[in-house]
Amino acid sequence: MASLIERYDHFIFDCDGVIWRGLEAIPGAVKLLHKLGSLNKGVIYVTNNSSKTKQCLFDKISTTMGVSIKSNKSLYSSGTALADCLKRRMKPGEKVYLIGSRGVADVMDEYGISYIGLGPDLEPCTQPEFKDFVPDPSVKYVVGAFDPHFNYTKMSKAYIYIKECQAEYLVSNLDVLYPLSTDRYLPGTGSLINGLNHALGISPTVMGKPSSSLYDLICSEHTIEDNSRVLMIGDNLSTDIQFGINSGIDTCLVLSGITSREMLIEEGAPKPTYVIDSVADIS
Amino acid sequence: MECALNGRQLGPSLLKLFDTFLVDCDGVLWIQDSAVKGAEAAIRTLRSHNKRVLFVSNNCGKTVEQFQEKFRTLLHLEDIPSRDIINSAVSTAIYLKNKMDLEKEKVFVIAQDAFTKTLDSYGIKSFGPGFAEPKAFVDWTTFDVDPSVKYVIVSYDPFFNHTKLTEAYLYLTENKAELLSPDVDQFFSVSSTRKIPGSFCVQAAVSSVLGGDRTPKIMGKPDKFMFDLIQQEHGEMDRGRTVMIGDNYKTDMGFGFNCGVSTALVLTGNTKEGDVEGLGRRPDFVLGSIGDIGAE
Repeated sequence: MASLIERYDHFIFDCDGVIWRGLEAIPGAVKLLHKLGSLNKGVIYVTNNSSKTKQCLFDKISTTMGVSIKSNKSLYSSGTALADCLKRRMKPGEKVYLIGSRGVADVMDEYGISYIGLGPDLEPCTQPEFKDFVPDPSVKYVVGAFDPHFNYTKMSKAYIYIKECQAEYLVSNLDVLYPLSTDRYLPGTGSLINGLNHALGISPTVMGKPSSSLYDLICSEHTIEDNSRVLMIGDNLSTDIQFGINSGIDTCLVLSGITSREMLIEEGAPKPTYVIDSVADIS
Repeated sequence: MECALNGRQLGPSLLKLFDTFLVDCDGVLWIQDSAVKGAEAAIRTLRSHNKRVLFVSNNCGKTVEQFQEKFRTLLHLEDIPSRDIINSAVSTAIYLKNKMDLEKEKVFVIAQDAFTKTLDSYGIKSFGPGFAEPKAFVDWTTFDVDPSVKYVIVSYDPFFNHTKLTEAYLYLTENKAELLSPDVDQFFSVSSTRKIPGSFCVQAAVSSVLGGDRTPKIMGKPDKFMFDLIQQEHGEMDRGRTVMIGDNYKTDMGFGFNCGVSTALVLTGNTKEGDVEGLGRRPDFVLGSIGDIGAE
């Protein structure tokens, strides 16, 4: 496995279940990242956790985990990918109806994007009250991202903006589960907004993994000369490995997160280039 | 299909053909807070002909007492017995009271508080409705999953959020709780031009986090199970002499088809005159309104 370091110049790491689980670093992760840094390898961090701003990710990696990183240019979250896309498309005066956490709102603020709907947004509350709801005409986009307050009102308003007002609908990611630091998982963005997607009868545009548009964004900001020398490392077959496949790069699945060996042989499961127990096996 | 858009001639036929009338409420007897013209007379006619009338509704946002209040204020019907009003919360309660250990087990409910009030009236311990404060992820690590919660109900809840979804998920996985739902309504029509996601969309969130292959047991229309539960309480019914009257083709007529009873669609609610031509399986009768039953 030491040959993986020789074989690739750029390493794109998923974070949850790969480098850390909740608040704890995965054993061997920090050692590997230091080694890659010392060999001047390109190290890029990509998380589908939409609530992390670049600053937040920087703090977690450098301060909490003690890994030195040069700048936050190597940090990507599904939230920053969303914001980057919106910034390039939105016109002055236009707003986003935001299904998202405070962290997602911070990302929007970082990129100068106007939004409404942050927090519980409980008006109107009951179904009959929606009869008199007047949509805000400046809302041209609906964003679906992890939102602890995501509720029926927000789902209904998003539905109205998309169906009645033809707002464009962008989603950070569709991960159904989010790993905690124990054996416990929590519902992720995908499960929350699946209700809305079901009502709409469409699959929304996803800005995070497995969308290759995220890789296009990475390539536009980093000098990557040879795709065959880029390796995507992640724990999730449908997001991380599929992302690598969609982007035309090699993939390495770690079994320290959400995927077990049994899931590898399920019909239709994306096939990683390599499978290892954890990133500790790389060095 | 006896198409009767000026269906007055059908009223007497229905009285001859059927002894038991299963009647939906919203869109049939009233629309929001206005009575449908002739609805009061229709119910009085049925009762004066000694017909058994049971009100079968998927609306679990009201308690039986609140339904009775509506009968009193809108239709001037003072004495509708509470046991003759069966909504999907009542059918859920009938199911649970016969299955649960009422002393030791509890139900987690994602729904409005009328649901827990209904369960409470059957001696069933439940909790869940109302605003739920978001929790920090790290607090979920130490959250104690109460092992007595063996049932989870998922329905329309204006306060449905990640906290409630997570709590449901933990009971469903760590306790292997049974998943129930009162209905499968995909949309709710708030006006003639606007519809919004219905309770099925809340269920979709729960099903999704469970991996997509686990769906709830349905306690309401159109599932035949609701008819089984009604018969548990009211005795077996002669299906050949029973008719389901409703305004929603998918839930009410679907219920009638699934239960093997006759079906009468009214056009005062969800399904409109223009929709009738395009229907797949036709209801046995189509009435302009339930008022056609009371018309002389």
